[in-house]
Amino acid sequence: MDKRALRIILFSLLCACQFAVLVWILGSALSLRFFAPVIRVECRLYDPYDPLEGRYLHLQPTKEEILLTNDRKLSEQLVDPSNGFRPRNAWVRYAPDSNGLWKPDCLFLKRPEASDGPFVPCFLKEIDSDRVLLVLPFDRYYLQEDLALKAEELLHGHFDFMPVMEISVGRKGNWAIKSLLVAGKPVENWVKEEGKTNNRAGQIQSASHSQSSIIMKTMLILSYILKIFS
Amino acid sequence: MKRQREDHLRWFLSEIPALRESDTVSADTLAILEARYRAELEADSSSRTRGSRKLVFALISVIASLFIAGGVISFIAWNWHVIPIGAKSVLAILVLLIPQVAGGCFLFLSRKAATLPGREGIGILHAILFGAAMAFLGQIWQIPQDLPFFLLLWALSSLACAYLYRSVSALTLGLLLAVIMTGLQDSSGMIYLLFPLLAAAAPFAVFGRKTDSPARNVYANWIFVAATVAGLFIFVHRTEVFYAIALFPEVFAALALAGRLLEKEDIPNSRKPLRLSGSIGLCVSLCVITQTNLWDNLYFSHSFSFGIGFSLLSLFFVLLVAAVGGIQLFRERRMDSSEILILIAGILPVVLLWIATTAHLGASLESSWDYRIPQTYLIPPYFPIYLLAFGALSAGVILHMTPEKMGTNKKLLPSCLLLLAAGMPFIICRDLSFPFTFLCFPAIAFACTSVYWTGVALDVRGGGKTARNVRTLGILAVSLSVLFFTTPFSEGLTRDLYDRENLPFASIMLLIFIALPLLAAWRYRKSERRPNFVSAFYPLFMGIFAVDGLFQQQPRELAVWCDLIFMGLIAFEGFRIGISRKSLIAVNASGILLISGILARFFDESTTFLLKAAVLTACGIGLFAVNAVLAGSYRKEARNG
Repeated sequence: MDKRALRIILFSLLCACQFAVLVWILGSALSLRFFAPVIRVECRLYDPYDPLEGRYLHLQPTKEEILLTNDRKLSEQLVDPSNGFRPRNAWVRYAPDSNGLWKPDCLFLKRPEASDGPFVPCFLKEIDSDRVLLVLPFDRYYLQEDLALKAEELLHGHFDFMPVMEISVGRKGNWAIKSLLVAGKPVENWVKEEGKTNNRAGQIQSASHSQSSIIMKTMLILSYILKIFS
Repeated sequence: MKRQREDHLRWFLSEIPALRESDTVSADTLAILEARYRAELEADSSSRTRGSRKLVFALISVIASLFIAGGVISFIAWNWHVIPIGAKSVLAILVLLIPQVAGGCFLFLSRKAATLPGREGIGILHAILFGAAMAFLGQIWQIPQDLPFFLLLWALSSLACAYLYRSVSALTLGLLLAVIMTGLQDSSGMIYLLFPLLAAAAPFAVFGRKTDSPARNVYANWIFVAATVAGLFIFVHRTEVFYAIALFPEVFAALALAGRLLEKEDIPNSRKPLRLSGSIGLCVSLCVITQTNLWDNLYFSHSFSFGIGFSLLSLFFVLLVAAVGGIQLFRERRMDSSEILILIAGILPVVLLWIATTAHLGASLESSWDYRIPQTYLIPPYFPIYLLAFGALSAGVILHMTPEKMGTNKKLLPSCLLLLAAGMPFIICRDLSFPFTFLCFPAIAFACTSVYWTGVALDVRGGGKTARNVRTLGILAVSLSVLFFTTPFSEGLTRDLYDRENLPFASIMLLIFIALPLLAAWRYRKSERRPNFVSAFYPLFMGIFAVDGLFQQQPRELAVWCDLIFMGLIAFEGFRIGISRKSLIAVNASGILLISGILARFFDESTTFLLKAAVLTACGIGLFAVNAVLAGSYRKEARNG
C-alpha cells in the first residue's frame, strides 16, 4: 500500500469517527427526547454568560436535599467513623408529589436498576444532622441571547412565576432537559408574550409620564410668568 | 545557518577586488569563483525569502482560520430560537462536514496540498470545528455537558488532524485541550490520560519530519515542552506530593537526553528546546524539591518509601545527564583550567542540591518517624535553600572568574542563573515567615530583573549569543510579570477603561500598541543599532496599566514600580545606544499580550454574539483574501523573474 492510499484511508477513518461521534450525540438526544419518561422539577433561575457557549439560564432546583431520618444504614455508610463525611458522587431517585412535581426521594451510593424509578447522578456536597445536601446536574438551559436577558429581567424578584423544567430521564440515569416552563408555557413563548405586554405597558407609562412632565413644565413656566408680573 | 553562510559568501565576494589587485589568483579563476559564489549567494537569499514568505502566509492563514472558527462559534452561541431544532442539527453536522470535505479535497485532489499555509489553515479549522459541532449539538438538545470527556474527544481529534495535515497549529490545539482536560480533573479518573495524549503527540512534536523547516520543528518542540510542563504541574497539584519528586526530574532528564541525542550542537540555544528546557527544568525542579514543605507532608509510610525510591531514581537520571555531558566535554574539548572551573560551576549546584535534599530527607525522617515526637529538625528547615543559594552564587562567582569562556559555556550558564533566580522567592518566604504574596511579587520582579542584568553583565564581558538570550529572557520575564501584575487579572481602573464609555480611549491605546511594533520594525529596516525612540515611549503605556496596581492598595504595587523602573532603564538604554532587535521584539511581545488582554475584555458580555460572529468572520475572510492577493502578486513576480 502506498503512502497516499494509507493517508486517504486514515483521513476517511478520522472523518468517519468524527461523524460517528456526532451521530452518537444526536442518537442519544433523540432517544431521550422521544422514548424516555419525563419528570417535572421546580427550579429557580438567573441568566449567566459564557464567552464560548453564549447565554443560558442558570437553573437551580428548589429541592436540593434529601432526609436521612428513615435510612440509618445509609447515613452510617456516608459517614466514616475515622474520616467523617467525604463529598462523593451518588444517584438520586425522583418521585412525584401530589402536585405532579417530582422531588428527590431516595439516595443510592451504587447505580440503581431502571425498575427502581427515574434516577439521575448527583454529587453529595455536605451532610447535616439528618439531611444530605445534593448538587444536581441539571444546571443550565440554553436560550437565544436576547430572550435569556429578557427572561432574567422579567423573572427577577417575581417569585410567583416558579419555573418548572421538564427532564427526560433515561434508563441508565442519562438525561436531557426537554423544556423549561414558566406559567405553564415554554419559556421562549412566555418571554415573547410578556415582553410584548410589558412593552405596551411601558409605552403607556412613558406616554403618561411625558404628558405629566409637559403639564408640570407648563405650570412652572406659568408660575414664573405670574411671579414676574406680580 | 543560512544567514551565516550568506555572511561568509558576502565576505568572500568583498575580498575579490583585493585578490584581483594583489594578483595572487589568476583573473580567470577569480571570475569563475565570483560567478559561482555570487550565484550561490543569490540562490540562498532567494530561498530564505521564500521560506520567510511561506511562514508569513502560514501565520496569516492560521489567524484567518482562528477568526472564522471564532465567528462560527459566536454564531452558534447566539442559540437561535427561530431556527427549528432539526434544521439546527443539520447545521451542526454541516459545521463538521464542510471542513472535512474541504480538507479532503485539499489534501488529495488539490495540487497545492504540500503548501504550508494551506495545511496549517485547513488543519486548524478542521480541528476547531469538530469541537464546535459537538458543542452545538449539545446545546441544541440541552444535553448535560461532560466537559472532560468532550475535551478528550476534541484533543484526540485535533492530534489526528495534526498528523494528517502535518499541522503544528492543530498540534498546539490538541495539546492545549489535553492540558485543560487535566486541569478539570480531580485526583481520580481521567487525569492519567494526560500521559497517553502527550505520548501520542511526541512523535510529531519531538522527531518532526526532514521535509519540514527547522523553525517549524523547533516551534513544535517548544509547544510540546510547554504542554508537558503545564500538564505535569497540574497533575502533581491534583495528585500526591511525592509524584512531584518522582516525575519532574525524570521527565526533564528525559527531555535533556532527547535534546542531546536529537538536536544539533552548532545552533543557538533558542533552537534547542529539548535540551534547554530539560537542563533548566532539571535544575528548577531540584530547587523546588528542596522546599521543605514538600518533605513535611511525607511521613514514614508508603508515600515516604516511594519518595526515597523515586528520589534515588532521579539521582540516577541526574548523574546520567551529568556523565553524558562530562564525557562529551572530555572527548570534544581540550580541558584547561578554565574549562574545569566551568565544569565544577555547573556540577556544583546539582551536587549541593542533592546533598541538601538528602540531608533534609534525614531531618524529615527524624521528625516524622513518630507523630508524638515534637517537630524538631536535625538541621533548620530552610537549610537546603541556603545551600542552594550558596551553590548558585558560588557557581556565578566561578563563572565571573573566567569571563572569556562565558560565551562558549552554553549548557551550564542558564542552569546556574535559573537556580539563582528561582530560589529567591522561596528563600525570602520560607525563612522570614512572611505571607507569600507580600514578598513573592517583588521577589519575582527582582528575580526577573536580575536575569536581565546578568545578561547585560555577560554582554559587556563578551558573552555573545548566550548573553543576548539571557537578556531577552529577562526582558520577556519582566514584561510578563508587568502583564500579570496589572492588566488581565485586576479590577479597578483598567476595568473601567474597557467600558463602553471609555471605548475611544481604549481604542487609541490599542492603536498605539499596534503601531508600536510597526514603528519599531520600520526603524530597524531603516538602520540597525541607532538610537531608538520607540522604546522610550513604552514605559508611558506600561504606566497607565500600572496605575491600576496602585489603586488596588495591594503589595503588588511594589512589584509594578520595580518593573516600571526597569522598563524605564531599558528605554533609556535603547534611547542611548539602540537596543537589539531581539530585545525589542521581546518588549513588544508584552505589548501584543496587552492587546490580547484588551481584546478579551472588549469581547465580553456587553457585545452581542451576533456582532462578534460578524466581526470575526469578516476578519477571517479578509485575511484569507489578503493571503490570496499577496500569493498571487508574488507568483506573478516570480513568473516575471
